Amino acid sequence: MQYILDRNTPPLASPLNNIKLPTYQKSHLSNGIPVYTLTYGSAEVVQVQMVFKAGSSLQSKVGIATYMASHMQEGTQSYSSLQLAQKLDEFGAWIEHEVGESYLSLNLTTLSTHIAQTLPLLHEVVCAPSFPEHEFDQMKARNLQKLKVNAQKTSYQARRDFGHYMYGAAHPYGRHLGEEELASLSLESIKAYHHQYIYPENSFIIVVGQFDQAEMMKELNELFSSYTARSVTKETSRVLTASIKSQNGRRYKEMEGLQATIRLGHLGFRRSHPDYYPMQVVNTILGGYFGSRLMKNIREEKGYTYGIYSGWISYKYSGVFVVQGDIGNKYIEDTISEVKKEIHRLMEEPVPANELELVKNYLLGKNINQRETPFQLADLIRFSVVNDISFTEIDQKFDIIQGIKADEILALAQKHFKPTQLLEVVCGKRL
Amino acid sequence: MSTIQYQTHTLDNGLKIIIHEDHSIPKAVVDILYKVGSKDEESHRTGFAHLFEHLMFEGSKHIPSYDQPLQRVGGENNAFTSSDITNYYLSLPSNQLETAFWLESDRMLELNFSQEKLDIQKRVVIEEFKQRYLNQPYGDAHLQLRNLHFQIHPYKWATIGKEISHIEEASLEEVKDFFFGYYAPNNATMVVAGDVEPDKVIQLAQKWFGAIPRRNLKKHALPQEPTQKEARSMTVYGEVPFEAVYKMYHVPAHSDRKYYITDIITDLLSNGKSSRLFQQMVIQKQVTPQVNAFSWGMHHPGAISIDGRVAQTKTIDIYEEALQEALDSLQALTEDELNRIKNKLEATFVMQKTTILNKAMGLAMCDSLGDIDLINKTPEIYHSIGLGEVKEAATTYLAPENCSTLYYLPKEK
Repeated sequence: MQYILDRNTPPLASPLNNIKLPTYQKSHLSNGIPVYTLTYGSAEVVQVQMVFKAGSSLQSKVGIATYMASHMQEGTQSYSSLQLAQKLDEFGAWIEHEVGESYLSLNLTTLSTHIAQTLPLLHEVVCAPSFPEHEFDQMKARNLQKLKVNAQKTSYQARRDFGHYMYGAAHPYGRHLGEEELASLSLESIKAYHHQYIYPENSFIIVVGQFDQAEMMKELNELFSSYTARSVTKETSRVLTASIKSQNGRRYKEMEGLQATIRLGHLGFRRSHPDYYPMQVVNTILGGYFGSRLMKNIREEKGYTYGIYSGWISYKYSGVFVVQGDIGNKYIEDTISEVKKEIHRLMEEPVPANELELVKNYLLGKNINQRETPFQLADLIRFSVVNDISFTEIDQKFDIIQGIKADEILALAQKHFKPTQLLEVVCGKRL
Repeated sequence: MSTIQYQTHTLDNGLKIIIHEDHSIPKAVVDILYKVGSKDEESHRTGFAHLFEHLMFEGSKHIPSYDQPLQRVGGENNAFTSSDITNYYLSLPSNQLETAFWLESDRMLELNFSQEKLDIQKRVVIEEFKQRYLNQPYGDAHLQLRNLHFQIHPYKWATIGKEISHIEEASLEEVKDFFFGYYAPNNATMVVAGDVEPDKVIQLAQKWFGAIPRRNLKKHALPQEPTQKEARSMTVYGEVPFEAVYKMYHVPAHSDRKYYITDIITDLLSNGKSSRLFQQMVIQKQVTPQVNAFSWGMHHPGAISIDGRVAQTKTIDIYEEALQEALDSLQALTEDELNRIKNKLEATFVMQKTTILNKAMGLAMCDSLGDIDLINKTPEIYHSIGLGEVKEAATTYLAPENCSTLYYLPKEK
């Protein structure tokens, strides 16, 4: 007898499992620098992150932290910028920087077999940057020209304007590195920032990948234990002393082109708010994934855009809700009114059981994708240490999402969305 | 360097299956590559393969929505179209693997075609066309230059298409023809990778894909691009702040060993701070803030590109002179420099293999090039390239008469 395949019914789904984060080790170098280590992944690679509590919220002017981190790699006491790059190439290794609100990190990514040759290069960059003036001026000139190209993009202007109107152009969360700001950035301010924040007591090290623990600690001690302390001048985040100057309503910037970028939003809440994870579920329903209500309505039913997304973004001391997309000029007004309708719908009608189950499972499944590579794990450890949020606490996200109910979603939407107070930034051609 | 292990199995209907096990996390990836791309389009219907990729997500014969059932079991998916292939990939928790087979087999079986869905996706693709190309400064540079660089080969047009009207005019009949002409088990490769058991994979493949009929493929011979004999150039004006210079050079097909030599040349030229174009043009002569060389990796004889913006204080002539000097300087290439770039490429290879998705895509891509084992052999190919070969290839392929240039200039105000 021929077996008839039932193609109409999905195969039986299995329950989704919580993939718990692994446990990392904490130890110290002889001078006290904390070292977090984790053996992870099957590839013969290792990433070493040297992290400083020197994030962008400490800088007096926008751009200082990032340009300092970048310029640390443009020459050291022993190597020119080119020599350093050639040394790294010789071993197929990279040093890159990342700057967040509360951290600045220099990351060495290398094949495990070359750790002994490449770790000293990270040490050079961290402990002995020469901050050459000529290279700094050149880099500024190049980036100024790149900024002028970016300034022609509606997406770039909308991002800038949204920050300015949401927080104020002087607020650490609202300011923007434009031409003027870059032109006035000085090498002195960068050196001063380095002096103020880049020292052992303000740092920790993360090592993730394939490596020998004892050997790694020995190498790190040899290199970094003589890294000498400087006078500690702790400063607090400039966000705490800045005042928010938030505006709402339509802010139009007339630009040539075939599409406009829209950014709609209002203030949200800080990262430590108890509703942080639950609001991620609410936001996902609205515009946080490919199958979201905004995408369905504005892309899949109307074809007004290639993509429209929303984010519920939390910084350390504040947060924003933002909806953004590049929209055909003639569809702008209709899109904005549909976005408002979708926000209202979430505040007025409970989310259907089917849709809620789908969104929860989507978020739970996505969890695995965020913990696959040693690089992702290194970032997670950094996040955990910088924000003092344990892996156990991060793992609880799974249960929080799993347990959320439709009436809670409704209550959260009513509590946190403010569709009548939206800032509406539109950069594009007014028809 | 550890090699990537895999096994293959082909169903009676011609569907090739490649299985790679990696049990480090409970995740599975399914990647299906259809051997059809924009080079298979007709010249009055460009952009069609990519438009079709969008329609593949609009529901199939028995399943009204592709995305929702996948998201419901914690999965994610996407796809891309190139000149040569169309690639669909998804990842999901490994205990939900069968859902992927159910979804992918149904859309290989038959789509749920409708005029309304076609009309909406045309609009979406037109907005994509604007967002990624037409509404960006210099965004259409490659669209225009390809048309000059390739005189007759369908690489003339980009995957997004030659013009918006081609997308607007696509009909439902054409969509159906395209499906049955190219979307067939005997024109596809499926990679199943991650936390999977090979026996189970084969059993599932047989169950869900086994009954899909083999189809008559609409394969046609493509014209061979004639050898370029003299330098070509064109000038366009747009809403841009600075002059820019885009160059394309003819290079051999990806399957040719010489392709890899030209690829390593692009790395020598612009991969990182130590590269020749960066050191000579950006740092020493300051003729550009940004210059980039890269391979298009086409299956037929294709191209490498060298794109740069002219520094605000310099002229196009000075830029081009500096570029020519940098290209000429490849004749002074040293073993050390070549070895450094090889080491860098090898390391890049290892880093890319840290995700199951990258391994799955890599296997599918290598298979489409005619040899799955390229996934392991590629680093050796780069390693085997000698200094003399690089210098010779630089002379041959970077010659002015092998090059097409587009000058992108600010519109006169």
